[in-house]
Amino acid sequence: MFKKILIANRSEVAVRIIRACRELGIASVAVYSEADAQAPHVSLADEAVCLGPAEAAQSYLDQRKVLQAARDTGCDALHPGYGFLAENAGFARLVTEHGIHFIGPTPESMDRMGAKIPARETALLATAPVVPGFDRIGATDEEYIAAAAQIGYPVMVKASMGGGGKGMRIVTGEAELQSALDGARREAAKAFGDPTVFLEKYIENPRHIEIQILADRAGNTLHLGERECSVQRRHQKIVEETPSTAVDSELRARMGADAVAIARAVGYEGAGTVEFIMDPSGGYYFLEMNTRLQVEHPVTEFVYGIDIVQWQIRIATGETLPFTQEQLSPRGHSIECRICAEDAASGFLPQVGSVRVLREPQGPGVRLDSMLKPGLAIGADYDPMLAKLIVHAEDRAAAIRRMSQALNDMCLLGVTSNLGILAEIIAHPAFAAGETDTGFIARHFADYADPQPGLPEQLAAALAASLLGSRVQRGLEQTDAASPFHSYGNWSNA
Amino acid sequence: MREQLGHGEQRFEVVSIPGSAGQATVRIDGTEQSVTDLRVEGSRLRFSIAGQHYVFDACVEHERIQLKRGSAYYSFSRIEEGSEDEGRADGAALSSRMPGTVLRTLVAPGTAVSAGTALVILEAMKMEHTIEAPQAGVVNGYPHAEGARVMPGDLLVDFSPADTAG
Repeated sequence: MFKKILIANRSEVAVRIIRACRELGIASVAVYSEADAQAPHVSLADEAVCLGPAEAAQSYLDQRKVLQAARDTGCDALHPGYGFLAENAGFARLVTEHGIHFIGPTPESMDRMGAKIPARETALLATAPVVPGFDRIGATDEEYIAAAAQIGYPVMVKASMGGGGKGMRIVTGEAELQSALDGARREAAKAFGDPTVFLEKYIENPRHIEIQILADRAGNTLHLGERECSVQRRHQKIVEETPSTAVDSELRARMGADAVAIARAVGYEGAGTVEFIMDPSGGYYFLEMNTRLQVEHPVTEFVYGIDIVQWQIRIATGETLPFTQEQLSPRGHSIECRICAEDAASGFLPQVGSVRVLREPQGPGVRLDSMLKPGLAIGADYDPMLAKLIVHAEDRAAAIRRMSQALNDMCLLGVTSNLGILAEIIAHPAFAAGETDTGFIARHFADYADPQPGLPEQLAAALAASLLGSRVQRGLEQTDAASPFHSYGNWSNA
Repeated sequence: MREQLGHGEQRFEVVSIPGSAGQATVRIDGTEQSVTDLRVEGSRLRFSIAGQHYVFDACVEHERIQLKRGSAYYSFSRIEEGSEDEGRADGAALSSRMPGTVLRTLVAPGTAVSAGTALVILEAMKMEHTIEAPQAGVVNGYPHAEGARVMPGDLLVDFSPADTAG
C-alpha cells in the first residue's frame, strides 16, 4: 500500500480523496492556490503545499509545481481527482518518470481515450456503436463544411480534447458553421491547449447514459452499471441518477458489455467511465470515455456498495478485484444534485459571494460531498460547483422524496446557488415520470424565474432588513458568519 | 425605520415599527401587518401572521437580503433613495454579470446594429459568453479593450438605443 498520496486537486473531490486515504491508512498531502488557503481540503489533509496564485495555470495546472510538491513531501503516489490534470497523459508520464505512482490508467490508454477522435476509433474497433461524424485531423474548413452537409444539420462541433461543455457548439446550418468552428477552437485552445475540433451528428435531446468501469491489472474488467446524467444546463450535468428509467437489466448488460470491450481495447486500468447517448428509440452510441474518477461516482457507490475511490487506490497498488461481474448487482436507487454557485434565473451565470449561512442535510441515505464551510469566500477562479448532495433509498420514488427533503433541510445563504431550481427539478412531474433527456431544462425551465415573494416573504425581508440594524451599520463587515443578525437593535430575541 | 425593498422589477416600501418582545408592525405599501411570535435564532427568523407560523432562514449583506423558506430561495435588494437609474435595463444587459475577461469585441465602434447582434465575447470560468445588443442601436465604443479583466457591473459596451441614437 502507498504511504503518502498527493491530491492534485481542490474542492469537494480533494476532500473525498482525503477520506479514502484516511480509511486506507494512507497519509494525504493537499495542494492549494493562494485563493484556496481557507478551503477545507487544505486543513483536512495531513500536509498542505501552496502552489501559487489563483490562476489555475500557475497553480493546479502547473505540472512542475505539482510534481515538486509531491517530491518535497515524499509522496509515493498522486491522485489527480477530476478536471485539472486528471486526463493529462503527459503529466501522468512526468509523475511516473519521477518514481511517483499516478493513480489512474496508463498514459497510453489516456492518450487513446483522452482525445475524442482516437477514442471514436477505439470504440469502432471494439464494435461499439458511435455517433455519425467527421473527425479527420488536419482537415480544411472547406472539408468540414462539406462533411457537415453530408452528415446533415444540425451538427455538433466538439473539441477533441474537450469536456464539460467547453469547446462545443450546436450548428443548425452552414451559415453558422464557420463562427462555430472558430469559437470552439478558441475555447478549446484556451481550456485544453489543443484547438482540434470534430463534427458529430447532433442527436436532438438524447439521454446521456454512462457506464462505470473498474479494471484491475490482472485483466479483470467489470462494469458497475449505468448512471443517467440527462438533466443538464450549458451541456453540463446537474442531476444524475442510477438506475436509469430507460435502462432495464437486459440493456444494462448490453451497454455494460460494450463499455467493457472498449476499456479492454485500451488495456484500461483503474476507474473509468464510458459515456453513451441514447436516442428516444433506445438506440445508443459511444460518446467518449473519461479516464478518471467521475463527479457523479457517488450514486454508483451507493447502489453497488463499493467505494470507487478506495478501489482506484487499491488497484493502483496491484490489488485484484475480489468480485466478479455476476456478483455485482445494484440495490435501490440513488440521485445526485450538483450544488453550484450560479443564478438559474439569469441563464445559470456563475456567482461569487461568501458562505454566510450553511446548514447541511443529514439522515439515513443522505451524503454531502462538499467544499463548503461557514465564511468561505466563493470566487470566480474555478468551476462553480460547491458540493454534491447524494441520496439513496429503496426505489426511485423514495429517493425523490428523500432528495426533496434533503434539499429542504439544506440551507446556503451568502452566495446565490442553484438549490432552489434543483428542488423544483426534483419535484417536477416530468422528472417523477422519468421523462429525462438533455432537453429537460430547456423544456420545463426555459423562462425560469425565482419564485415570486408573497406577503410572508415581504414581511421576512422587511424584518431581516430591520433586524440587521440601521442604514449606518449596514456597510459594516460582518465578522460572525454564523449570525447574520449580530446587531439587531431593538428587537427582542425572545 | 422606512426603506424601499426590491425584488426583480417589483418595488415596495416598508416601515418597521418595533413593538414589545415578539411583536412588530410592518407597513408594506401603506398597509399595516401585525407580526407576532417573532423570534430570531441564529440565521432563523420565526414569526406568525394571523395565526399562521412561518420559518425563514435569512442573511443580510450590504444591499442584499437573501431568504429561504422550505426549499425556495428569495433575493431582495435594499434600494437607496434616488438611485433609480432610467437606463438600468440596457445597462444591465450590456454589463458583465461576473468577473471575467473581454475576449473579443465584434462590431466596430459607430456601427448600427439590430437587436440580438453579438457585440462582445466575454470569457468567465473558462466558458465563452456572448453579450448581445438588447435592442436596435449604435455601438459607440467599448470601455474595456480585448484582454481586459472586468468585474460584475462593469459596462462592456457604450451603446445608444435606436430611438435616442444620433
